[in-house]
Amino acid sequence: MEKDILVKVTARNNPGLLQRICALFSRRFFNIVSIVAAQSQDPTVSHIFIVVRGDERVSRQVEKQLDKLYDVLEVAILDPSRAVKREHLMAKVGRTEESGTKLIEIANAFHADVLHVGPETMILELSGDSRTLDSFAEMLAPFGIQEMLRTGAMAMTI
Amino acid sequence: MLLTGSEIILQCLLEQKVDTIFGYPGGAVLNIYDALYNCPQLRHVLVAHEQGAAHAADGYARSTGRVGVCLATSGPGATNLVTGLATAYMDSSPVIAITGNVTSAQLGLDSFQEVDITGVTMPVTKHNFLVRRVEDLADTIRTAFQIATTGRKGPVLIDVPKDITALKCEYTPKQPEPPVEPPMPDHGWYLKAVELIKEAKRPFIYAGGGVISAEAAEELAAFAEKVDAPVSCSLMCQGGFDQASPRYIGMLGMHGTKTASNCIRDCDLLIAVGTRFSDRVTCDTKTFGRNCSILQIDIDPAEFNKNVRVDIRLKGNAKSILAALNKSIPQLHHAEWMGQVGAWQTEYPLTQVASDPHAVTPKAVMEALHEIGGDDMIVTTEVGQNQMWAAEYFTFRRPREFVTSGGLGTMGFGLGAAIGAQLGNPDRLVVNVAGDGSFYMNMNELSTAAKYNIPVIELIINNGVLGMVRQWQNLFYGKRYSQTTLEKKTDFETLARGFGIRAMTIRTAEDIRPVLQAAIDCKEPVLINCLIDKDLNVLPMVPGGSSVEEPLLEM
Repeated sequence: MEKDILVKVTARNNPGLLQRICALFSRRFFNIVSIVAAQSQDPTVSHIFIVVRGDERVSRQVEKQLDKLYDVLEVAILDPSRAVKREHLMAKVGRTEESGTKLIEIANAFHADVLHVGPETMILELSGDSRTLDSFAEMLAPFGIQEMLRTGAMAMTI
Repeated sequence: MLLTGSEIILQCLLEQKVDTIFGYPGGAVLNIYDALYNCPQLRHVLVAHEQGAAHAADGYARSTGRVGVCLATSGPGATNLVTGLATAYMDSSPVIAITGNVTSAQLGLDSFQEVDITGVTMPVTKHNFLVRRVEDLADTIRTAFQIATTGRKGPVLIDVPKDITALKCEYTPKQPEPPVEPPMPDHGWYLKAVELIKEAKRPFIYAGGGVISAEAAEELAAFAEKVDAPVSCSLMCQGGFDQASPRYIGMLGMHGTKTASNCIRDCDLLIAVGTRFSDRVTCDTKTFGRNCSILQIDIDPAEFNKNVRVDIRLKGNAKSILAALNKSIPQLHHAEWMGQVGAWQTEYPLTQVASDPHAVTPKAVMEALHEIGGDDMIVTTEVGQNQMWAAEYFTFRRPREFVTSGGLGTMGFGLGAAIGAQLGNPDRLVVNVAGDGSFYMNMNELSTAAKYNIPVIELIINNGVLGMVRQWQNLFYGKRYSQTTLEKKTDFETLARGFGIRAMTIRTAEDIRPVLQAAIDCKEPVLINCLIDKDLNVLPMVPGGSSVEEPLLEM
């Protein structure tokens, strides 16, 4: 059965690291849903979070093939029930006199931040798991989303 | 001691006991070649084309078990290595490629002969490096050798900008660290494997290139005796098991024997050692091994459950695992099963019928070659029918005496590989079995054999067609031979003489032995043009998509 698999890669922060990982995914025909590269406390080591769509076989192959890269120190397939997952969303939404109040109500309900208010648009920001971000985007849709940006997932095990 | 980057490169190669490098000079490697001028300990072989250098380094590596090294300049020099590196990568062969690049200041500016070779070779090397500081150079080279030779072996490329080869830095010699023995497999899995082997009534051993890579041939032979099982070897494991042994039943897969396909159909346990279940072996994966349990032993855990499902997996070094199993299992007896296997072998021998009594068959050529050349010779091959005939009809008895491009299937591999193998094994006879199509790909290296008087025999099994592709056209494309008829006007004997080497021709069955004998006796590079019928096929054959259990025995 296909599902989203969240992979955490800990690797030496050498030049070309991201290219090596992406090249591996490309030549093995693994589908990247999202990818986030994050620095760790140690500047020589990077964490990369990759969401891959695939079944059990793909999950095992992703783990083992990544583990063969020389720069990769550790690969972990994160269990969603044992990890806190966060994604980040920014949206520029159309604003009128009357919709402004409603947008702020929605933002408050989601604990989202209002980054900018202009005469015709508003920029909102929200961090959360992907389901929360999906419903937030759904709520904003009727107001006219002019631009939306979403990062992939980062996660920490609990 | 204060040395230039170029001197450090050469010193590091000497640290690793490298004695031969294959290469081609150019602007970005001028400093390295200048340092080489004063370095008699390193023999540099000047090839005709960088692809030949990569294949020669690979042939050297596969035939000796040591690392093969090639050297090329930036840009086209580096890209010409790519096919050779991909060939080595697919067959897990330890090759080090050193490429020059433009100076650090010129990197990224589309400078003359600049190419991002680390980017280009990422998918076809185990790892690669771009050296940015001369202080990192020595350790980078040491790490590259370590990566190439540990775990599942493979090629590593080191790209060195020109300024780094001129800059000086302090160099301290360092002996290579002894290889770290990989850990033994999980004990629970190991005990299950022992039980499975003990319980099996009809075990079947299938060995791959990992056996040769891990130097595990002796342990494999003892294991086969202990388990009392038939043995099949993949193309990459030819010679990893003594083919003169009655246990040996030939290859398995697309061009495997009928006995091997009966064994995979009827066995209750397949013991796969050092093999990755290539599609050329499994054929239709849904039916492969459908009646048996599969026990897989491999150094690379990514190979477990990749192409076929595996019941028990043992991760680790094939040599240590087989040695341990040989202690853990008692002497087993499967007389009835072995009797059945023997009966199949008698019933289904590999045959090849000549169109008339005087016509030359590849089978007769390979058998005569083995008889005259002896057990100690090395056979390299090109790719296609010539390769399969060599694998089918030559009796390989020891590891590292068959050098062929299995995974990538690189036409043009063999001649360079033969040159590398000959230089790594100066006292042995080396023959490259070629097809006329493959010969045209990299025949330029005949000039290298001639220049250094490297006594390889280039044995062209000449049918005037691209035989393997034609065979598929014959079977699946209604004999529409689209672009596979070569029939060029080349006079091979004249061509060989032009390169400065001797040439002979085999026209009839009666010529085979005298010509082979004469070629071997002259102890210098020789080209043999061996004329065969264009309609000979490689059989048995499992058509694409069919089950390995149902090979065509004739067509």
